[in-house]
Amino acid sequence: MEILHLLADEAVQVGSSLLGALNPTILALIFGGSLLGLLVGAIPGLTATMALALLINLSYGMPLENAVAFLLAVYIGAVSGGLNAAIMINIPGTPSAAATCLDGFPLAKEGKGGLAIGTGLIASFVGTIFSILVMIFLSPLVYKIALRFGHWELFLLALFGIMICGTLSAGKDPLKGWIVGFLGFAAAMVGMEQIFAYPRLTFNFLQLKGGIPLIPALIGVFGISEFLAVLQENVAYKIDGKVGKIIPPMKEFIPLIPSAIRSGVIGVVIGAIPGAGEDIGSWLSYDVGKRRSKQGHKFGTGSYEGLVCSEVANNAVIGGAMIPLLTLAVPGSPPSAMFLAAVWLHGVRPGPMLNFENPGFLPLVAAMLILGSFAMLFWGLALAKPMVAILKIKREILLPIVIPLTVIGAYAGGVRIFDVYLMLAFGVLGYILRQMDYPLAPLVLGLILGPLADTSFRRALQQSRGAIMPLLERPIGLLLLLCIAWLIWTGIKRTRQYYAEQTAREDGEELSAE
Amino acid sequence: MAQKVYKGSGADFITAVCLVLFGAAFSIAALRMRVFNNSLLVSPGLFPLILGAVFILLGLLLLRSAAKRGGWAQASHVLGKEHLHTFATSPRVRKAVVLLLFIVAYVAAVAHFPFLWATVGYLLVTFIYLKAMKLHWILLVSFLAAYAITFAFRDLFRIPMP
Amino acid sequence: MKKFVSMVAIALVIVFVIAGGAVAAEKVWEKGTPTVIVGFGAGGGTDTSVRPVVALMSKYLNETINVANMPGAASAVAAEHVLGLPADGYTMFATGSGCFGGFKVKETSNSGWEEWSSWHPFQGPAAILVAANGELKTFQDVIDALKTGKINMGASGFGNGPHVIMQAIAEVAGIKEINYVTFDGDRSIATAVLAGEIEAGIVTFSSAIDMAQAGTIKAVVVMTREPMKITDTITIDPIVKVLPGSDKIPDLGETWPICIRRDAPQEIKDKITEAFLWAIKQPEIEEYTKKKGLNIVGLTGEDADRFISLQISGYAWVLHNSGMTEKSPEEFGIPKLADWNWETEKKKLTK
Repeated sequence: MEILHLLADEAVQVGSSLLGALNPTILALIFGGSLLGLLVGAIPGLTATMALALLINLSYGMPLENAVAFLLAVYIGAVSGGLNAAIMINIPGTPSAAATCLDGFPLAKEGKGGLAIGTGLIASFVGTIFSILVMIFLSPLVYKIALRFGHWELFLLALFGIMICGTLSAGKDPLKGWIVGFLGFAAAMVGMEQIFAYPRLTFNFLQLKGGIPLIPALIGVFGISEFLAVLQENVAYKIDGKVGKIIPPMKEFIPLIPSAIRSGVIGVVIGAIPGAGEDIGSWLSYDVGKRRSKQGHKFGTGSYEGLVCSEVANNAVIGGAMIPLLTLAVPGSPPSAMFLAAVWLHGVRPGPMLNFENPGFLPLVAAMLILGSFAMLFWGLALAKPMVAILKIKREILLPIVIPLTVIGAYAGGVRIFDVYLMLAFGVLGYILRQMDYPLAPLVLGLILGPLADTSFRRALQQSRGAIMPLLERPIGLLLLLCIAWLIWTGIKRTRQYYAEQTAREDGEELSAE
Repeated sequence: MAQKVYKGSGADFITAVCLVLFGAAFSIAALRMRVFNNSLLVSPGLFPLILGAVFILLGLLLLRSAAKRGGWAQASHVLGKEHLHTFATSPRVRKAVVLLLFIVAYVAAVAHFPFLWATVGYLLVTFIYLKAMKLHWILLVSFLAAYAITFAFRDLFRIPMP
Repeated sequence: MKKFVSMVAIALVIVFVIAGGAVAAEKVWEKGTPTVIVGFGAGGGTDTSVRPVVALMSKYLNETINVANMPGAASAVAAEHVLGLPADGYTMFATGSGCFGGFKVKETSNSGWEEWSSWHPFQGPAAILVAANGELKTFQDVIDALKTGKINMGASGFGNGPHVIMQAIAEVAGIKEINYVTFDGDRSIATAVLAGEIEAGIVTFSSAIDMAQAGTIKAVVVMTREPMKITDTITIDPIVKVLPGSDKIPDLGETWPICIRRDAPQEIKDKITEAFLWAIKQPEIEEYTKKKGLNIVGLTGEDADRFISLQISGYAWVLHNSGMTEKSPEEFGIPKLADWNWETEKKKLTK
């Protein structure tokens, strides 16, 4: 009974914060921020983290409520906006939208771009709202789970993430996905490592000591390689057809609900674990979705369900990441770290003292997140038609215009021209991989997770003083270990099966030709 | 060679060999890294060493599968003089290389000229090469796009520009 | 029709050409926007310490000052980047003061205090944390447990401020070797102590003071000369009270300076000093430092040089003694702490 009372109390507080937020300045900031976020997210190379970093100074002059409203709206917008570029030009606008490409782009090619964007947006909206609800009501529970993740578990999670990403994006041949994923790990080894600051594989080249920056690599691997691969054809592909409907019909919607809830839960939990962010959340959810769904075999060929899995999860990470942020002041994802910095500047200290010092802050965040997701949905749907119209522009015109954007994106993060050249190098690498039918997403995820895997692994060994046994006694770790073993087992089996089928088919073709 | 040759086996074969070599090089580089506090277990080389081993393992897996499908024969064909010649002269490859060179030139230009002008130049050249539109449209679109991008990022978003 | 379109195109081009030339106004930084490059990631401890000060300075000068992040190599990448740019005073560099100690000896950057002019707003003392209800209750418990070698100690990285201070404590207390477990940041250490992943940890106290106030973790000692009262009921012992001989440990607490190339125009440096001194007197900063357990130090000019020089001696030698350097500090003429003397050090400038 007492719990119910508490929950009701929370709900009332959030409600009153919502009402309090309904003044013109805050609404204008939310809608403005949301639009800005969507645009930033839609441009490859500009990410939520970067947008927040640039806007922090601006928000410093605002009162706390306004700053929170503005920054959260940008955050939600930017995480959601990534799906536009993923669906329209097969370049994920942010790393977290890489899994969205798998189903979104095939749908757009079929001429269902409008519906794909609509579904994706609604999924993003649902994911955000779901995670906010969990954040408000189940925060203590999720936070206890997140506390159980030590160095060892983080290492296994990173390994697990790269394995499933490899398995999924490679389609029928997981081995190739793993190869690319581990290549990403290898690329992440370049630069000063995080424990002793010892430079690895830098060949005494100062620029490389800082490591390979993620954003230029992401834009290169996806953007430049897409540009080269599409435009090298005599006639680049065209997308015809009407814009069509944006909002999917109800009867197609209902079967997607179980997937959405499952993806929401996964997103929230991953978000709550410090160190794991939007990207790993969407891949994990996509994997589970594919295994659980009756239509699993359609994933990757233009499945709305696949789209929902990825988009619900990457947005659910937002609310999830707020849990350790508000309870421990440990940000669950890079953009939320920026948000934390911003509220610190306003003198609010999230953490155990939050409820004493700023009792209204949690409901405020929840209310602003809710308003922000509505604004995101509004702008997303309003902009969907013009966005789809962009799809119809000839690729020969559209893609060259994307190139200056990629150059800016690669440059802005680190302010050095070297990063732009690095982007080109990764573009060529991506192009070659693409020509050989290797997936690209694991390379980028490997680059993201590589440092996490490396340092967590060695730190776990620091903690256990080199012994393996104490690590095996950790229950969550053991569970993850079993999952990884199972992935390897089924993956190898699938690769074998694929080649057996392929040889059989080619044998068959030959026979029939004779 | 009596063995039958299957699609993609040659490429796999070559990749596999490269992977094994890469893995070996990676492991050697890892072994040459510094060991701190006399313990390899926390030292920088540990993870790269494991990665190197994983690459060798993955390479061998791929090699086995490729060899079964007649990879060796196919690989020697792919690397044969004739095939390389057709590859290098294929219009698709040439087009991709030219497009890439344009971008490289653009990036080099960005470092020395104002961003706006470099962008205009790049778009003009690329559009003309791709025969994307009629000439006056090319002019218009190049300027408009370059100006819009420069304005939006430099003045509106205040993002540091090259 | 076609002719018309072409005409419009040409007209537009001309308009853009004219509009392309920007107009400049009279300012400290006349030619563009100055940028402070933070050597660590966005949202980290250094980043959050630097941004409020820069924001106020920007308000005072009524000019935008950008803050960008360039993490990597304990901020050496950013340092080298800034040193590689012209000394026009448009690019500044911000980092943790301890980082300077690692630059030369780890061969990541060939700069010491001589290359920079710096402004240090505040300093954060370090503290040792234990779980609120754990077996370790006092500083002595931690020292005894460390002597047996059975417990793990959290630190945010080898050669970072708290680690260096812990090494200094170990030397005074006679602890031979400590098994460190490293974490991404001080906040993660506090969480790991809370979760029971590690038995004790040393952090810059400002990053965990609220958890100590809430009683979820306990601080057994703080590196100050005076006791630190954090709530009405909780007061933390200073190191000088619980560890005999610790008064010899020099002031190694980290600051988060904003730096500029020493050869930057003097007018710009003077303006920065003016804005800086104004900024650290503002109530926002007072409030901020009070909440986070930081001390406002406001070091500028020679005081700042002297401070960094001392830190370099302390940090470089601790790094060297733990076997983490490429070269000995001696090769760079960095004196041991015992031999450090500002009058001798100062002469390096005139050379």
